[in-house]
Amino acid sequence: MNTYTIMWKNFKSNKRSIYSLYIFSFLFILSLFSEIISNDKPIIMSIDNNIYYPYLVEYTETDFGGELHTSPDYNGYFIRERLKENNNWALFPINPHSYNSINFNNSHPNPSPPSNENILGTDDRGRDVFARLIYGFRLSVVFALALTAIGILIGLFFGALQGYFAGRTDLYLQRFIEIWGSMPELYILIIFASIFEPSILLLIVLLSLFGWISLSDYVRAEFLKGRNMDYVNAARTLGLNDWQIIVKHVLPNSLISVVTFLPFRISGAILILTSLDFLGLGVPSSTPSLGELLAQGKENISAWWLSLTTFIVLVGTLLLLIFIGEGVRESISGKSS
Amino acid sequence: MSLLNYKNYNVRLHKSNKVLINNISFSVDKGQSIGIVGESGSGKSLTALSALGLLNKKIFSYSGEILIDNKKILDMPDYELNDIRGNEISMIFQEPMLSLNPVKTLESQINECLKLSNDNLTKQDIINSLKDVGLTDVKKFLSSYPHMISGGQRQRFMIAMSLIRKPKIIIADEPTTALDVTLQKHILDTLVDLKNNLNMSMMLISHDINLVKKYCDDIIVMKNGRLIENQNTHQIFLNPQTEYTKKLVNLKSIAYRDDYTEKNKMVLETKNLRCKYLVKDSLFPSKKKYFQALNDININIREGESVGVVGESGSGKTTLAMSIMHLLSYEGDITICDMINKSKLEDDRKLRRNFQIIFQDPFSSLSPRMTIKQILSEGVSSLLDINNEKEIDIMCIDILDDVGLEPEMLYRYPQEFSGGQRQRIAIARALILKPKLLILDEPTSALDVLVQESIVKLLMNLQKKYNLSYCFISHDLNLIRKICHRTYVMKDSLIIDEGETKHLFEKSTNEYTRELVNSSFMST
Repeated sequence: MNTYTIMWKNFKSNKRSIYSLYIFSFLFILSLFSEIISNDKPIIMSIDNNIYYPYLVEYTETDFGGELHTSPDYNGYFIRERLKENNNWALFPINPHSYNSINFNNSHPNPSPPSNENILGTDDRGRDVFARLIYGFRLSVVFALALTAIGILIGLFFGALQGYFAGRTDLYLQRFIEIWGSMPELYILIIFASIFEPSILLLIVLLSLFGWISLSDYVRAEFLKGRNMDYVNAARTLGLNDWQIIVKHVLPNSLISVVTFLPFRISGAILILTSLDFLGLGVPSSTPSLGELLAQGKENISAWWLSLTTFIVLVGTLLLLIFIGEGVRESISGKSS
Repeated sequence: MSLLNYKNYNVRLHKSNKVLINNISFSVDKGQSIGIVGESGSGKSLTALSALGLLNKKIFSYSGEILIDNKKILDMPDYELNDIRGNEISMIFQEPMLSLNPVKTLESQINECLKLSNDNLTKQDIINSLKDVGLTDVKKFLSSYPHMISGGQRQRFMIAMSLIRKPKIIIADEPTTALDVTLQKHILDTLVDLKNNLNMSMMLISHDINLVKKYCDDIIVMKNGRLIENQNTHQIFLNPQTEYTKKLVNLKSIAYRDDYTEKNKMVLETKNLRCKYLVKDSLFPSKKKYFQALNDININIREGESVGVVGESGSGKTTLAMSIMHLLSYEGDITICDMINKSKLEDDRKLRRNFQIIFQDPFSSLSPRMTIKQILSEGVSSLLDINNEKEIDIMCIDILDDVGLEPEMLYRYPQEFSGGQRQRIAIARALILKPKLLILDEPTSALDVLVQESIVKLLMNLQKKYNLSYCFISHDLNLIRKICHRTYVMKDSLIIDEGETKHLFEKSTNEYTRELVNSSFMST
């Protein structure tokens, strides 16, 4: 049996981890459809026997018989009144708020507590907390996956280079990594955040510049071990060149350490994004983010729905990832408790 | 009166309920020495560890009884066991480097024995016991760390440590397997002398029945966790009761090979082959220090001939193999089949098909992520330029048949095979390229004796079939005797002796060769 088949079998025998994986995958896939779950635009709408798709098509208020040439507020007074006439109807998503839409019809001052309209309340600008949570969760996970993938690619590249060729190559690259790694990551982030407009892409680039170092160390160690195995010597006597040996022999046997770190790296990346947003160094406030919600919770201590719900989402996500990671790690060492 | 007594002793694995030791009973009398022989996985080490109460109750479940001096040790609490361990029974392990703590000096390690001892032992006792095992310059020795002394010294030190409290029983678990042949004899002689002086009982565990023969009164043969034979040493060799024992005893066929007569053309020739390792690097070339691993080596191998290279570890045998395989940089000339030398090989890697290597450890020589077919076909596509799936399939199946494996095995992974099968796969990987020269670096030393035998037979058949030349690199003179026409003896990076195997083993004038031969065949 293939090692990965065995690992998967071991992993499945660990109940906590496999259920964590199921739940996490389910939530993540669900969050990919956030636009259908939570949006301020109706999915389908019928006005005066004409069918409109506001979710897909951009309409102006004049299309529905109004006066303004701007996009209408579908939760606003005008559309609501229109919907009451002539058998007009609309199908709204389950949560009729987008992460960026402001509830202007709120009877409470912002931040407003959970109500029928905003099931988890609103933040201090009147935006729906539930909507921001699910969009924020999606963004965090996608961000983490991207950061992890980039980190692994760079880490594998440098680690493989160092470990396989060893000697001089290893020495110089190791010195380079030491210098590179001693740059103050946080300050570079702050400086760049003030020079450029902060965005997710910028964050990914900046964090990727440093995130690969820890992984490349492990890959290097695995390659240093692997290059001396007899099967690598055997491959050399079979006439394979360095590239073929790396790809076919050393890499597959070194990937285990990468796989083991995968869930932990993802949870680490989520935490980094949250912390940066919390400190205000991350994404702009128009972007839904868990960190920004936490920061708002800190500003508005009495608005418990802000900090509590975000906290639960964050801890839940990290917990699931750590359970998965634990399962992966144990599936390799072969002991499943 | 029996000192150590096993009664219907069983060991199982908790998890899978697999039986590891199946109902064994035997006893060791005072002053008696008993040998336990069996292949790996036969349960011999487990039997020994049980006597010290060292089996983890969370992993193993056991039943039956083990008595030392009529004390039941299986249900004994740890604090009582600690009293018995070392004082009544002590153990010498296989790998002395692993059984000594690398961060403590030898003195502090042996001092632990004193603290735990019931008698009042003094420093003088330590010095005496070290002298007993043949260690000199005791003072300097005690202040050194385990990595500073040689393998033989480590094992002597381990023996001193286990004997200083004068236990009644000593268990030696393959005490010399990790050592060179010349050392094996010295160490075992020392151990047995001390045992006789102190009138102790001894359990000597080994995979090699011929090694045990000289030192033990009785021999127990174990297989698959069962005790299949327990007899007087003399009797067991005269009249083995079971088929398995018969096979073990008859392994030593003393025939030399003499099937090679005509002078064929040269396959391998080295001229003034040198190889050095960098020991200390420096910016200035004059300050760099090198270790000369090969020094003016001249060897030659003819077509259809088997040539052995013997020597103890560190003599440069493996470096020689690696140089011939062009896996290391070297100076001097290597000519293979009249055409390959360094510069040509760099131009055309395809010349590599003419010479292949078999490594010592079949567990690390096959990539665990590849199926057998992938492993076999790799060289075919890279060196023979055959990429036709069907053609490769046929070649793979043919070669598997040659090495005695089934075609169904093509799609399985290496970890599903035993050591012997893996070594066959490694041989198939080399032979599928139809090389002219095969270098075998200790090809059987990681395998059990009976598997060794079958691999040797396979290699001899293949040699006839394909007219191969072999270069055997080994410390095992029994193997060399069976299969090699000519032999080179290496010591300290030099070839110090060479000749026809029979002539070399029986009539060599070189002192080192004679010592090597004597210690290897001491038991026959």
